[in-house]
Order: sequence, then structure tokens, then C-alpha cells
Amino acid sequence: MEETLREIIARIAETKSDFAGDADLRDDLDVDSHRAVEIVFEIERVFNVKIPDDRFGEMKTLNGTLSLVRSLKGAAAVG
Amino acid sequence: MQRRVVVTGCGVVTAAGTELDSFWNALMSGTCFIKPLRNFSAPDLEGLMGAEVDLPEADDLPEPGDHRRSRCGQLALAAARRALADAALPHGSEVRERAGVVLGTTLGSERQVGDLSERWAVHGPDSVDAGFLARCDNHSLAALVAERHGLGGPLMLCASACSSGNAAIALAYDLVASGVADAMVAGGADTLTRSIYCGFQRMGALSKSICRPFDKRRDGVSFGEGAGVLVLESLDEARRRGARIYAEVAGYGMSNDAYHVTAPDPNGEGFVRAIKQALSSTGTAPEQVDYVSAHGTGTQYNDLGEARAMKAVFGERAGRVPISSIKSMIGHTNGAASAIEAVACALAMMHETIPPTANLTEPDPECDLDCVPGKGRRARVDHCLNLAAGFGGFNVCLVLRRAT
Amino acid sequence: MTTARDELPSSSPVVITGVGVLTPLGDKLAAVSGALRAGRHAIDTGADLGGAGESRINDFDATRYANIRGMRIYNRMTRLGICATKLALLDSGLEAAALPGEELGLVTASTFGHLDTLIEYDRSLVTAGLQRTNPAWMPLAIPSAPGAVIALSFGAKAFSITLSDGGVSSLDAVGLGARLLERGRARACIVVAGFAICDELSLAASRAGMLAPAEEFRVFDQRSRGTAFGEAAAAVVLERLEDARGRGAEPKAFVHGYAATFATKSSNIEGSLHRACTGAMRASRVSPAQVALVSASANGQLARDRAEALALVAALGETAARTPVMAVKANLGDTIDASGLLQSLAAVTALRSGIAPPIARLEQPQVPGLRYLREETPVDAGYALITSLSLSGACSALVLSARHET
Repeated sequence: MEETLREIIARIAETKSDFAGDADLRDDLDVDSHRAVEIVFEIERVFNVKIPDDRFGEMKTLNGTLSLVRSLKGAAAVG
Repeated sequence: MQRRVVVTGCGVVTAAGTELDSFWNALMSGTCFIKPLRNFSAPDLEGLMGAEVDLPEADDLPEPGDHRRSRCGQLALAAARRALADAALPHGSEVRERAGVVLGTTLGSERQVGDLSERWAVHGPDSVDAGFLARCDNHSLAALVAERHGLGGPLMLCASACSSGNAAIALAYDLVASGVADAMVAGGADTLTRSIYCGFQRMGALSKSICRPFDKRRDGVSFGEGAGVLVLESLDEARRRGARIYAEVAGYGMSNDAYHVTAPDPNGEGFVRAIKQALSSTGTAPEQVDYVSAHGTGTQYNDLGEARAMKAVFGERAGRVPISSIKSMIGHTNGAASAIEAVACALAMMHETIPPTANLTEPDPECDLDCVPGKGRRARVDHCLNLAAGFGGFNVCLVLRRAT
Repeated sequence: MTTARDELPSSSPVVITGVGVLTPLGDKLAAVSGALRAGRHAIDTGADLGGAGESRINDFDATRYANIRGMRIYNRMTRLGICATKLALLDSGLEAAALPGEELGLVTASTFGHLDTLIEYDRSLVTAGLQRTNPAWMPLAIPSAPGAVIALSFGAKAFSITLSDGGVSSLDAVGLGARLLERGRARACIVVAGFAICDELSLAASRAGMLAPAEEFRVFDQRSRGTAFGEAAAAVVLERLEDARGRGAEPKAFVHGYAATFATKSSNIEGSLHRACTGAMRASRVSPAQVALVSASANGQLARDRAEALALVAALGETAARTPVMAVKANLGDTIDASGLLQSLAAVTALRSGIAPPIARLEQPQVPGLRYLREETPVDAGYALITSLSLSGACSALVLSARHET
């Protein structure tokens, strides 16, 4: 899952995929709001989850995004 | 040698009214015309609000069989007819051949594409008919007006998102000032569209109820449909034929943020630059400005940026320059917005009253300006600014002043 | 009937200091001009158009020209526009001049440049629903999007205006850019124009009977059976002469007068174009005898070609029979928004080289009285008159020269 997320972010941010897991998407990878909506859309599509608006704040880094998606998938599996 | 340019006619079709008097009275009362939509819907979105225009079915539509028949075209024709009647522009060919049309639109023929998508889902490529090309040609919005009124001068369609109306007026102003045309019909038109509702909702920029410009609880844009049109002529010509003069178009300022495809530059530099250029190029001192018609869309970032820009331009005096957003009442009409707002500026000068910002009950302390909350008020307006900012950051600030 | 009042002349010359083109006949103006002189054309049979012709750019790879972040999501016309702009900026040497962004403006000529994105976005809303539709498309689905993106890509902060005037867009854009420079709104203005073939538009045109069979596409000809779309992008950098000279840039062309009119009935296209031509010449203080070359808009639509020819005969008066007329849509197809700019650049190249290209495949002109070029022909130095028509009924005309004519 991490590799797929990494690829999605790298592709949309147009950057190399070897960025740090704690690199800030906005400040370090220059992901502006236009790219951000695209990233959210791609993640939702690929992982078949719906990211609630109030949890966008957890997507500041790859690591944060990974935890978020895992928790959404986990919740989906349970509920 | 630049000629002076004045406004000799106005026409609007909005949710607040389609005649100047009723439009003005409605605005001054601070009534909000943003309501649950009756005639429009978008897939997957429920409970949509917006400001729809009540126009008689047959009013101003192109002929049946005319490929260019569209709601947006109808709105443009309706406002243009009113403006030209208001201006009483002479009908002789020597005038009409040197009179042109510049309209602005954000979405133009979007609904035609919308119709195609519906049909395509069932019929695929067979659903493309012969008229699709003409319908998608946004230039035909201006052409409809020019044909209907025999206007043979320059014909342009200016697309700069939400600043299209002001941009069209600025272009028209230049054409008359430089003598390329003697009169110009200038304005903007837009209707409600699926793509803008869906798009804004997904961006989190669509209000869940009604827009509240400059209010602490503002949560986004409310859309409206409409059209606003002005007739511009050279001052000399207007005087010579005894036309009623609303105001002089003193000039304008322009800038482009070139910051982002949708978001405005958060430090508002481009917006400030456009306003300062408008003031300096027209020889207007900030102290002379009596009223500002805001872009005021009701999003967190727009209104904040605009308030900051006002402070940067007017300094200590910023809190005493009345600034209101009529989008609070008629919604954000996109390409029509700044054109309708320009008409509002002209009417403000004529009636010596300024329109309010409606729905403003809890002012945002960071937008601590005189936003004219609630109802309009009496005020002598000799100089006013009309602000507009478009997606991608194209900012246009128009300066209108009392004609002397 | 024209009035006695003159369009006021431009106060200071505006010049072209850089050029970029992307066309089915090549991405260098010299190569394109060579192809025109040799009578080569790029009209092929389109797919699913019932034999109608069209002219496409083969193997277009935007990354060969520009490496702009975000390009991967931009549509074809936007990419063509970005690349043409990049080429023009390089050609002008303006990037090296380190012009502040606030001094650089952009005018974009695009009527349909956003359309395929809008179609794709809207279709997805209908078929896949809101949640499954890429929200990043919406800002790119409006007519101002290509221009906004190009301005963003190159930091044009003075202004960014898009004109959607159909076939007359690029002449209107040049006229607008020149006026804004004269008004001091910027120190340099990029004018970029583009049209990419959109399947739905081609289908509609085919069903409207607008398109000629590929092998029968010709312009100004009695046997013309319609037009053919072509795709292209072109960009120029405009500056005031003194600013260009000030930074040591050599002007490639001089922009003189411009005029634009509208035919309120389809029956008066001839009269309206005539007015536009005389208006442009008058604004340039140029007499018909000084026009060395006409670069016409003829696109194979019989009635329009006829109206244009008659308008030119009337506008040129006594010199009509000897003024060379070229028509590049015969080679490139009708590139709509880009057409006026391509006609302009081909004309300027002809003036510089002293040789104008023939009108490809023309055999039986519909309207006598004009000197339609049937082979490569020497042309004098002097002024070129460029004419444009739009499907919506607008007529625009522009006068250019290769040298500083006074």
C-alpha cells in the first residue's frame, strides 16, 4: 500500500518517488490545492475509500496519509 | 489622443429583477434572492440553492431552429435589449456600423455540452448533431446581440472566468477611447451549470446554504444566473445627441496573479496591483473613492484577501470606505457578475445610494471594513471602484466617476 | 458605407520580436514556409468523418519543447499553446532579458481549447457520477483555462485575457495586445493562439455538410466543396519598438493598423470585410497600392471564399489585379483560432524572403479580378494585409510589414 500511495503522490506532485515519509506534501513537495484534490481523488478511486473532509488534515505527509487510508480500510473491513 | 468614455445605457436580468428600478429597489432593501433551485439540478447534489432569473419563456430567445438557442444567449439578449433601449442608441447605419459588442462569459455554452453528455450516454457519437459546433462557439453569444441590433463594429467574446464582465468593459472602453469604435455594448452573461456546481462542491467552495460575504461564518459561494450590459459611447458623441449619461468610465487596472489555477494569491499582491493601477492610470486619489463594489464571493480566502487589499490600498481610511457585495443578494453570476456590479455602480451614482451586503450578521473581525450590512444607505458617490478577480488570478478593477 | 472619422493611428510602433509555431507542416517557420512554397499540404482523410479531410500534427510530444510542471494533466491545445509560447520566448531572447512578471502580459486566442476537457469532465459526471469524477478537471474545463495555465506557466503577471472569437481570434488578439502595449499596460505581450482537433466538433461539422472530401479540399476555387480542420498553435512576442531596440532585440515584423467588423447578415460578409480591410489600411496610413501581399482567410467554404474575394477586389481597387494573394489554409487546413496568426507569419516570411507561396490546388478561381498565386512568386517589400473571417460572422483585418516602413 505504501508503494502505491508513494507512486500516486509522486506522479501528481511530479517529483521523484524517493521522498521522505515525513516530508510535508505542501511545503516540501509543492502540492497545491489543485494537486491535493487530485491526490485525494486518486487515493479514493484506487483504494475504494471515501476520505471525510474533516480528516484531510491527516494527509500532511505520506506517513500520515498511509495511516489514514489503513484506518479507513480497516474500518471498512470491520463495519 | 484618448477620448473620454461614458455609460449611456444599462440593462440587467437578475434574480433581483429584470428592470433597473425594481432591481435597484430590491438591492437597496437587502433582500436575498438565493433560494432552493426550481428549474435546475445537478447529478448527485441535493438541496442546491441559487438565484434564478424569472424571464418570460419567449422573451429574447433566438428563433426556433437557430442552433444558438440557449439560456445563456437568452440572458445576454435580454440584458442587451434593455441596455440599448435605455441608451436610445440611434438606429442609423452610420452609428450602428461603428458600434460593436464585447461580452464576457465564464461558462458560455457549457449547457450544450451537458445536453450532449446526456444523449451520448444513450446514443454515443450519433448524438452529435450538425448544430453542436455553432452552439459551442461562445463568440455567437456576442453575435446574437450584434445581429439582433444591427451592430457592425468589433465583435469580441472575452473569457476570463469571474472577471470576464469587467474585462469586457475594459476592452470596450479601450476600443471607444482609441477610436476603433464609437459605441460599444459591453457586459457579461452566464447561467447555472452542472460543471460549476459540481466543481465548486468538490473543491469545498460551495456554500451549504447562502453566501455571507465578509461574515465570520461564511462558507463559500452561492451561484446565480444573470446578465449585465452597458452601452459605452464617447463623451462628445453622447453630449452631441443629448444622451442620458450615467457615469464616466475613467479607466481600469489589470493584473494577473499567475499563482495558481484557482486559488488567488494569498498575499493579495495582484489584486492590490490592479487597484493601484486603476487609481494611478485614472488620476484618482484613494481619498476620492466613495464606494467599492467588492468581488465578495463569500469564500474564506477571497473575502480575506479582498479586505487585506483594501487596507493595503486605503491604509487607515480603509474602514471608512463603504464596500459591499451584491453577490450576497443575486448570487455569483460568474461572467455576468462584474458587469451587473458595474451597472450597480452606475445606479449608485445616479440615485446617490449604495447597495448593502446582505446576510452579514456576524462580521469577520479580519474583514473590519464598512461592508454596509443589511440595508442600503444614502451616499453621494462621485468615484467608485468595481473589483473582480477570476480563476487563475486575472484581476480587473474598473473606475467609474461622475461625468462632468 | 464608411464614415469620415478615422481610426486613430497607433502612437508608437509595436513589433514582433519572437515567433513560435507548431503545425502539421512543421515546428519551424522556415520549414513551414518551405513547404508552402513547394505547394505541400498536410490534409489527410480523417477517421470516421465519411472521407472528409483534416490536418493533424503527427507525433506531437510536448516534453520535447517545454518541461512545465502540471503539463501532464493539460489537454492537447493547452500543451500546444505552452510549447508555442516557449518557442516564441526563446526566439525573442526575452527570457534572457529577465523581464519582471508584472511587465509581461498574455493574450490567448482560444474558442474551443477547453472543450475536450469540458466534454470529458461532464460526460464523467453523467456516467460515473460526482464522486468518481476527477475534480481537478473542472478548473481546466472553462474557456479561460488554457490561457490561465499558459500565463501561470510563464509568469505573465500584467494581464491574461482570453478571446474566444473563433476564426478571427488571433488577429483580434494581436490587435488587443498591441493596444495594451501602447497603453503601457506591459512591456511585452505574448499572443498565443491554438486549435486542436476535437472529434465531436469535427463530427458536427461533417453532419452540417461543412467538410470537403480530403482529396477535393481546395480554397477560392469554384469547385470547393467545403473546408477541413487543421490543428496548430502559434505564438508571438510583441513589444514596443523602443523597448525591443533598448534590449538589443531585432524586430521580425511590424504591426500596423487593425480593424474589426461584424456582418449582421450572412449576405453582408463582403461589405463587412471590405470595411475591415479599408479600416485596417486607413489605420496604418497605407494605400491599397502599398499593399505588397494579401494573406487571405479562404478556407473552402464556397460562399465565404466568394465574399472574401469580392471584398478584396473592392478594397484593393485599381491594384486588385496585380497584388499577390496567398492562402495558407489550402496547405494547413482551417486552424480556426490560430489561423490569423499563421497567415500573418507566413506573410511576413514571404515579405522577408521576397518570395510568396502559391495557393495549393487552386485551379478555377470563383471570383476573377484578384492575382491568386499559382506558383512561387517574387513579392516587393512593403505591407501585407491579413484577413480573417469567423463562422459567427466577424471580419478582422491587420496590416503588417517585415521592415520598418514609414
